[in-house]
Amino acid sequence: MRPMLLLGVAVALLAGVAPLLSIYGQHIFVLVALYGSVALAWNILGGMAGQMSLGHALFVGAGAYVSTALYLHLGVSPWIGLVAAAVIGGALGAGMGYTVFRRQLSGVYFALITLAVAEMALHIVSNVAALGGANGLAIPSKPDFANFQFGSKLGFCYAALGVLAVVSAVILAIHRSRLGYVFLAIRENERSAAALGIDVVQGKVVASAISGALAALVGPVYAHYVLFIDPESVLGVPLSIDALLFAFVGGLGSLFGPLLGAAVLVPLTELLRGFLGGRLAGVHLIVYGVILILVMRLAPRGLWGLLLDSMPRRTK
Amino acid sequence: MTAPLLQVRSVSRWFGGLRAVDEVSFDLHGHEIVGLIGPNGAGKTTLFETISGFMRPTKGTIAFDGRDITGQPPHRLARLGIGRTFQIVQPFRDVSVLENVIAGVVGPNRETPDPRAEAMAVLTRVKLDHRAAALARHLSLPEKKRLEIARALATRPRLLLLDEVMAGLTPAEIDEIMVILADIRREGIALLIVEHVMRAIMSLSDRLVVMANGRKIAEGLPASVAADPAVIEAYLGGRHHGAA
Repeated sequence: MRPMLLLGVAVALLAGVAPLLSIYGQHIFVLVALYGSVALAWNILGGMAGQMSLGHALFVGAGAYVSTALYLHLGVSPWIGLVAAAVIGGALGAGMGYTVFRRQLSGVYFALITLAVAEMALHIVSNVAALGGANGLAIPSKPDFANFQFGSKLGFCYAALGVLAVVSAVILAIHRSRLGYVFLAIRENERSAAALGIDVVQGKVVASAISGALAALVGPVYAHYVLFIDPESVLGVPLSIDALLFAFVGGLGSLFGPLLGAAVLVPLTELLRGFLGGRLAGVHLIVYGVILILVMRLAPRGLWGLLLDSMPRRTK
Repeated sequence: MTAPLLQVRSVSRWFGGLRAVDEVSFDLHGHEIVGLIGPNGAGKTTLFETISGFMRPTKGTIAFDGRDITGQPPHRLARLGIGRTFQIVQPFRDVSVLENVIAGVVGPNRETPDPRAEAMAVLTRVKLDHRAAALARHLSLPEKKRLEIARALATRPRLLLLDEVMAGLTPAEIDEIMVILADIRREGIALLIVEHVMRAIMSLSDRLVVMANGRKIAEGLPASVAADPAVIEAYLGGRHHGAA
């Protein structure tokens, strides 16, 4: 279990670093951990199992809305909301995967359907009064551990780090198990996979369910951090694109590349935003584009690939 | 005599008006090597696809080990013990040779205490153990062919379907594959081999099934089949059966 131990050490180190950061630094920490988690979750389906999703905001948004609605309307603790989010995210992932993959539809159809379903969810939520409609839901500030409001950015650093740790542990567990080989085989060659006794449809549905459940975990943490959610921010296309982009830049299908992608691109976005003030809104998207092109040209295996190449080769 | 391991009964596969496989029947017993030969376009690969579950037969039935498997999906057949290779090798290109074979070990989802060791043992059987750490895409063609066999072997098949594993190889490389196949049979695995390399198929096979234009035109010992006028006509371009 050496990789799990390594993960534990990394999480402990990050937890130790968080209190030393400035308030702004802690804000970046939370964002990187949350975006990194979404990108890692996306990568389980899109990278490891090779089924591109263009709608992962659906899972984040579902998680955010489920836990927030439960909290506001029924007084259910967001800690339970977190579990509910994962269950709903997993069910959505499984349902969507089963609907598409059972019909032997290729990856392009899956990508388009994820995009369409996420957009449908956005428009449905925008028209449901109980969910705040297009105006969104505001969460009253009542700092209390039971309310998932920690009264400090440091508390959210730990919450976000917790989600990141869970997502990372699941990825390591998959990587070291039969499921890792099932995903790999499906990604590389479906015919070969089937000839080796692998149920390709089942494998894809499982990937979709795990990916959806983990992405949904991010929603409640984000919602209680910002204390406000609306359809555009948690169900919108930009979030879906971010997940995919971080994974691509970090290294598609690599173990932790997507986190690396988020760790580079999220601070860059925030710096640009601070540097430009209110001017030139959206300029970070242009920067994203340039970085994406550079990575594809210079490091097709992403930043994670660069990192591995730069490390001294271990003899096996 | 024990019941046949594989029973193909009047299997047909039509594509629109084209009868790619037309009422083909034959048996294959455990421990047996059967060669499936015929001119290009005879329907050998299509028959293969139906036996391995990648295509559903239009008509007819296929039984394996006494149970009807007609129309079962390929992953279930692989779990029952039917392994196959592909004519165009399809390795998982961007992972190591060892990982390719581990995928075969764990693919059928049964108890595997040490997949890595089991995969390594399989690589030794096909004499590819020295390449275990190499990326599959860096292998030469003969090595890729052996990897294809190794990955299928890793699923612990009782019947292995080999689709032109010798195509494109030099005589020396073909000899190596023949040694490997003879070893596999000695371990008690039955083989159904589609092959164009006549020297190999004649010496390896216990029996031959000959197809032309979707139909079985002959079956029997290699020597008698080679002397069969219908077979000679099919191969040497008689107008009736069209060797093209």
